[in-house]
Amino acid sequence: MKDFGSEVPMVNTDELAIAIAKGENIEAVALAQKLLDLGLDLETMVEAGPTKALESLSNKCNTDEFCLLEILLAGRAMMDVMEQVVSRHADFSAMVEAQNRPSFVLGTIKGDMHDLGKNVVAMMLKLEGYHVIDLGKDVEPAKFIQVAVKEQASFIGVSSLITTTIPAIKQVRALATQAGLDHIKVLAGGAVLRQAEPHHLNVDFVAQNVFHLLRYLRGECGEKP
Amino acid sequence: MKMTGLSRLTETLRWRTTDRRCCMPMVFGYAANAAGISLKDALTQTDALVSSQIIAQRLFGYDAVHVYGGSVTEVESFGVPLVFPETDYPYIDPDYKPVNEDALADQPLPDPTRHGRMPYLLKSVKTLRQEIGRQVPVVAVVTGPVTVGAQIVGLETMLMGFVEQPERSRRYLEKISLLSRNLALAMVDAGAHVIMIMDPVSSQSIMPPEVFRRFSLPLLQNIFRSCREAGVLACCLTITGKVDGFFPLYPDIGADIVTLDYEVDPAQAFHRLPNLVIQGNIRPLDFVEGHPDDIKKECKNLLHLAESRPGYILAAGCELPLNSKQANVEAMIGST
Ligand code: B12
Repeated sequence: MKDFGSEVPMVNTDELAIAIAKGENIEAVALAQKLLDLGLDLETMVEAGPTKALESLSNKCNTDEFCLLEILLAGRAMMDVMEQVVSRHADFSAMVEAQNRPSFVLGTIKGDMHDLGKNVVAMMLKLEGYHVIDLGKDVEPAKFIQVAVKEQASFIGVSSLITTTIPAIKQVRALATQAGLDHIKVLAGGAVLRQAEPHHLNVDFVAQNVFHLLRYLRGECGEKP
Repeated sequence: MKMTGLSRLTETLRWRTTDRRCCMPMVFGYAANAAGISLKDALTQTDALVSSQIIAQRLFGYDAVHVYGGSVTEVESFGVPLVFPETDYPYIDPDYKPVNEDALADQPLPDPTRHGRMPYLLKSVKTLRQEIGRQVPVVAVVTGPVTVGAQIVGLETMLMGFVEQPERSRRYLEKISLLSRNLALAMVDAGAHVIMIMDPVSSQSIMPPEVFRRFSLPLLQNIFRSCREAGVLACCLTITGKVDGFFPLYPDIGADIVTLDYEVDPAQAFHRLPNLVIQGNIRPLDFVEGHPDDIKKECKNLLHLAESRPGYILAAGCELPLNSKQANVEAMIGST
């Protein structure tokens, strides 16, 4: 990566990535603005700041050193940079649209009220440029299918943290197949599901955490989705 | 001579060997399912809770009975509305709007002998102690203050508050921990042998060790200290998920027993926690999806690892899932 430390004497882009990863939102916004003021182009700033911060979190996560509080703080700093700095210089949603990523229908399955993990997934998928349709929590299996058809989705993501929902999760793939949606990938995640193999849940992939999901979507987990 | 569950636990706490390994799975709501009693009844009526615990304990022969009203028992006593499904634990009404942290700090403190379902849980402890407490230890489960706080103000709000307004967070958590302490003491008074603090929100997957040290640790220490002064047989801390980052703090918490979930490496835990009785860490989902042979294999590995460690209790580090298969529970007990 290009080193801006020499060109931009007061701040370098590493500081921005570090501020975001540490969740220092006010500092991150100020640093991002300063970099642009000093002449750095928008794309390089986004690559070297928010994107790099996401990668460092992902690495941390591989060694199990991350937690919800850190993700919340980093996610907020990332969103603040995008909304308060990037969107002023470019249409953020247009940038996202331009990437033309597929639609992702996401929800917590019927009977389960846990949604924090699912919300983290929605936030990260949006930052990756996916069109996310978040159905919320306590979602009937059939609802995932209805919406997936309507939105021509490529992915259905089912979240659950309790074991009693497993029969409902198993229905999702079966209903998708009945509706002729064999091409749709059904993905699952959440604390309890993490213990299961995909065939136990009748899904295509079980994510250990959100970064594992992102690696899967980028085709870095063996097979391409 | 065959030991009772109580003597097995007592000897394990003294780090002495027992006739067979002490086995104390966290059989909460599953007891109702195993006994053919409605879970909703077992969570709202003393008779149903007591019978389900006794029937399930006799059916399987493990070494403890538990009194647990769900993780929403304390929040309910603060007036938070709940939904009670027939076959699952109660949960907070989805329409509930979390209260402001300051308002919570100013709210009157619920009384364990009067509010919500706490009186019925106390009565259950008392009845179990009278009926089987001479042979089998009665474990009373109290929710950790941080977990209660997260439910009342919202987990994300609470976590952000730790960073932005630590003093305010401390104020309302101390208030909640008074309730946790009073409830724990009332449980001891009613005859509980063991106080188990269940604090799933104080997990490393939610907060880093430094935040745990500043917020959860002092509250847990206080509750355990009070229980000890009141003469409880043992204090047990249950935090699900990863906790190894907290190990340097664990010896100072004041617990005699710590439970470990399947994500923690037991060999490392045995090494790093040489003076704490460790309970765990069979994979909970295997009781639902696995085969008895899988359970037997896991238990065999754990028992082998703990061969020279009397301070070990066989169990999973999380509640036994409601939809566990009976044969899998039998396989666990059969392994001891
Ligand atoms: C917070 C919490 C709650 C909050 C939920 C708040 C909310 N709005 O979500 C409240 C207090 C309401 C709650 C309620 C209950 N809870 Co709860 N809860 C937890 C807790 C402490 C943390 C969960 C969490 O948010 N983790 C953080 C997030 C970020 O992690 P995550 O969800 O795993 O998500 C990550 C990945 O898994 C992945 N992911 C998540 N979803 C998806 C989806 C897809 C498609 C993909 C690819 C990836 C993915 O991405 C995320 C980021 O990496 C856990 C214990 C623990 N330490 O894990 C218990 C826990 C999950 N709860 C549990 C229980 C039992 C309950 C209750 C039944 C309470 C009770 N016993 O009375 C009720 C549930 C009622 C119901 N029907 O839903 C048990 C489950 C046990 C089991 N074996 O079934 C646990 C394990 C605690 C325990 N042992 O007591 N809970």
